[in-house]
Amino acid sequence: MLELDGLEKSFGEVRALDGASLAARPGRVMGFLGPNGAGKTTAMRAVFGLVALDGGRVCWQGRPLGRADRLRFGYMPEQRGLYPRMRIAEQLAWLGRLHGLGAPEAGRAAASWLERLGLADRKRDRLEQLSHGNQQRVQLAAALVHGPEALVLDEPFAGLDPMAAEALAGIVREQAAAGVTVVFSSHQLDLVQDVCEDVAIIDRGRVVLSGSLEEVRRRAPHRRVDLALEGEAEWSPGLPGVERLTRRNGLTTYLVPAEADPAALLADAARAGRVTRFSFQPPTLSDLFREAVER
Amino acid sequence: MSAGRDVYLVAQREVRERVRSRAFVVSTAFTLLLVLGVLAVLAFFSDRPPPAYHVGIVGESSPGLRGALDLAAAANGALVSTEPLADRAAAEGALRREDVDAALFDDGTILLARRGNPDLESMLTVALRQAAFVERLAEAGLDPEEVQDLLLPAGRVQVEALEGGGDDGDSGIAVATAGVVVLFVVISSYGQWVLTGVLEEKANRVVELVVAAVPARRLLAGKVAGIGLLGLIQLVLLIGIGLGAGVFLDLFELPRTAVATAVWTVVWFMLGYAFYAVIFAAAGSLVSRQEEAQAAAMPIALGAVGMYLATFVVVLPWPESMGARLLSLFPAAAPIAFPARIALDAVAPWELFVGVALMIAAVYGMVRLAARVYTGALLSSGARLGWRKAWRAARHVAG
Repeated sequence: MLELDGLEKSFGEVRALDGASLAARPGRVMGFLGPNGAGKTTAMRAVFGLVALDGGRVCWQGRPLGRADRLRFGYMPEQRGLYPRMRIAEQLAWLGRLHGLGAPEAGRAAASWLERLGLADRKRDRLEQLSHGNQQRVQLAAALVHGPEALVLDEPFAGLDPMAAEALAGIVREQAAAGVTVVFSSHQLDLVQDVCEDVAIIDRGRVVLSGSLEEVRRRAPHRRVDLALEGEAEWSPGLPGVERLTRRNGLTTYLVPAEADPAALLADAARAGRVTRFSFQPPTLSDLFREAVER
Repeated sequence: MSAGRDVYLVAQREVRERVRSRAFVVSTAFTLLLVLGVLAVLAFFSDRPPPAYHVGIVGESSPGLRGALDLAAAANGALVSTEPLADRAAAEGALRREDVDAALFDDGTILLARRGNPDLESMLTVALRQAAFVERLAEAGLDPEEVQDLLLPAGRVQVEALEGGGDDGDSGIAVATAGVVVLFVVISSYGQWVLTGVLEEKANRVVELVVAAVPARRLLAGKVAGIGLLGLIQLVLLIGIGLGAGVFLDLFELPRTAVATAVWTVVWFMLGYAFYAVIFAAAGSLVSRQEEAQAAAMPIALGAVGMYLATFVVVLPWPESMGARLLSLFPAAAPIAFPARIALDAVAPWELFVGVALMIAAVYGMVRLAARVYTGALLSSGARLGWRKAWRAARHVAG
């Protein structure tokens, strides 16, 4: 288990991390969400010892994370980049060796990842000779080549087309299924909802919401009601604590208290007009995110 | 993972990638060709081997002529050989065929293919006059052989000079000058390689991935060591080929101090390179874009040029002066100035000891300082960082 425990870090006046804590479990994928500047990248850099923390600690398997542990982690920094003039197979093998693999082992691992990512016939090419999409694949292989026990990916889906994103999601799920602890940050909330089992939402340096996706949705104090009435008739639920979110294409979305009775709501709405669509669900990740980081 | 393995892996990558690059192969070949070219030009213009003349002697020569020719040749530092020729026609033929350089007649005529070699003319004139002199003494009743003996150099002549320096002073200066130029070029060009290498890693943003696995100080050490190893190989090639070609082309005898100079040059290269390379590395880490490389390198390169010029102006002409002594103890100048003084045999052993000790201390201090700036600046992006800002930013970087 990878734990961030009360991380604190200030850069001058800016408080980048203000007691951020989370726990990522092996075999599960955690989405790490937050608005720009919330502290995602600083927290991820702290995992790799790239940031000197003012307080708190990062633990792995219950003990403070050390340099030897980090070598068994895979990292995709927000700032992508590899050596442009280095041949890709050699580059991956070299990175594998930096993480402790022996030379033959590193060569085999590099070859097998290039094979897996469909770049086997390009292995002698320099990175700069590859297309942007293929460079992204090599970047992913760079995080995976040494067979890490934990993967920390900073915005891995940024800039990927839907096919590439789907392929990445597949690899991420597969790694988790093999027992790897995966944490990735993202802005694309619907994507996160599809890929991850756990979420942590960070805002202004603090983790404001975390847990399994199912649980945080269930635990939310609201439910989302989508309703369409024939002829766009007006209805408002006769309940305290109701918020009307949007009205689009005849479909109106409300947030209602979680304890509200869906059957009663439907019956009430039916009195205002003929109901053509009705749903009563836990809030989406977007709803939770918006609520968690509301300013 | 051990520091040694990290540094080795980083250095190995540097060496492998650079040796393969066309820039390295071309620059090494070009430098070697340049050195060989300079030596060849020097050889062309330097002291020629003693001129050798083949002289035809027409008719019955006076008995003393052969001896007089040898004496005159020795005085002029030339070699003379002779062959008898039958008559003027034979002499003219031999001259036209360039079989002989000159022909002497018993009436005292010197026949040349054309005029234009005053050394030869005056040497032959002296020889003919002396032969005539010997002949007259013989006519006066003296035995020609006795006369000849009397004319031979008598006693031993010794040359002494007020200024010391020994007989390889000239070679010493040549070696010192060559050493200064080569050291300056190698240290500053390899230093700049370090700068561009650091900058490339930053500009391509690969550095964050690397420092997540290898602490920044080890990355710095490996990079400096790898590029330095290439510099060392190039320097040893240069010295070896330079000295070898110089001896082969008869440019110089290896001066007494040559081996020591070569060894010390290598030692000072390593110290000087380490000193400058880490400064170049720190400067490279302060910028994020290739276009800024020149601006980042400028102050350091200017400093190195200043030390280089100071060595030329102060150390080479007056290697034992106070100025030269001070300059060679100053760490930024020492790697260039010290080897020059060693080549000129102007260093007391204690000075060498103090100089190396001071330099090692300076390298250590500079490594600490540069490593901190490098660490602080490495993960910054965007605008160019100041040294002080980077120094302070290092606080925020763990490791």
